[in-house]
Amino acid sequence: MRALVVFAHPSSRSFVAALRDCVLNELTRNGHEARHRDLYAEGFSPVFTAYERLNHVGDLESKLGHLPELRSHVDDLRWCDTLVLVYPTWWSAQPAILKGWIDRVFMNHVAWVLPDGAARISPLLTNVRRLVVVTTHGSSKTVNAVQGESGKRIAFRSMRAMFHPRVRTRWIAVYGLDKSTDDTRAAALRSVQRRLRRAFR
Amino acid sequence: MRALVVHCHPVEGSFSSALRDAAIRGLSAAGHHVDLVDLGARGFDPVMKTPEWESYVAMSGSIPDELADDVALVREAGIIVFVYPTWWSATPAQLKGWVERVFMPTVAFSLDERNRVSPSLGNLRRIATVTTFGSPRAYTVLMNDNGSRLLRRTLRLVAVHRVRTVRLALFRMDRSTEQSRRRFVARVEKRMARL
Repeated sequence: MRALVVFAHPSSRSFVAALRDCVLNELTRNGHEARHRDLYAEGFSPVFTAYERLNHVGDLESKLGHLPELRSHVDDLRWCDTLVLVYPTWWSAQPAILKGWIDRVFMNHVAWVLPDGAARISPLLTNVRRLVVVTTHGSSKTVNAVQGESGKRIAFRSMRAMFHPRVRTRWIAVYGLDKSTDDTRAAALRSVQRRLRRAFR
Repeated sequence: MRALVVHCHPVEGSFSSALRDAAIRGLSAAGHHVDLVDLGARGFDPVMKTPEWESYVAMSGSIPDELADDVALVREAGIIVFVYPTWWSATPAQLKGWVERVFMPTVAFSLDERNRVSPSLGNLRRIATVTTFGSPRAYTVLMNDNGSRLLRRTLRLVAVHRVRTVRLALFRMDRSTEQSRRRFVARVEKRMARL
């Protein structure tokens, strides 16, 4: 397995960072190759620029010439067969830094093309056969259901449509962190570890 | 009423700017006092920094200087209108980050003694989203409109009173015509005048 782990959290001492460490441990323990992108640590800018808007469709090489900071992200995305997103759910979706990673890196000729005369786009990231999301929620599962779990839909519908048609998805989520204690967090971490083992088998 | 228009698009002069202006015209015509937050023009940084996150989880209520104006406008607003293009079925990252950074504890909500969320925005009565989609309506039904879902369903939970929400969307932007765009601008202006 070649796994790309994209991590989006402002603190390396957070519970989400512990989940990320768990993901990386489980991958290496099973002998999988892993690449890790820590969007905060590398100071990733999530703002889709005027240049990107005006060159939305167009030659990829010349675009990447203008946007050298995106090139290695594109390479990683094309290299992996498994994409693992690790982030806290904020306002029912991905933090801005991760949403911007999607806005900017899932670009034309990388994630999709619009063939001449076609009515709809075709996916290009058919190398991705597994999509794993590891995330936390402050509120309960019920509250999140009422809010509509936008983040889950963004990942499992919008992003997924750019991957292999039979990509397998796995949602590994912790709910109710606002009311958690050291004990419940330790239990949640063990449960995530068990679920990761099944996902990375 | 005080109305706050929050606009997010990287290119000034795009169709999105026309929608922003139409919303402002409609709200003004109805006699509202309109304020504008233009994230693209301002070069707003949507990333919540580490100290900000630490103060967020500590529920400290300390407001960074660069967000003081946004916080004041959100507290006063009876109406908030979001104008943005829908990307990957959701808002651009810049707008998502504005919500994350401005709707902080003590401004938008607080946690009670049992760690339940209690809303803090006492003036907010209406939320509207004005957005464009590249894809046709059927595709967006399949993917869901997560941008509007988030801004209306999730955000309304921080209002003390019941919030009525409105969604205006132009689908299939890629194949729109001068005429269909003009019709949508007129529709936005008219609808904003009777929020």
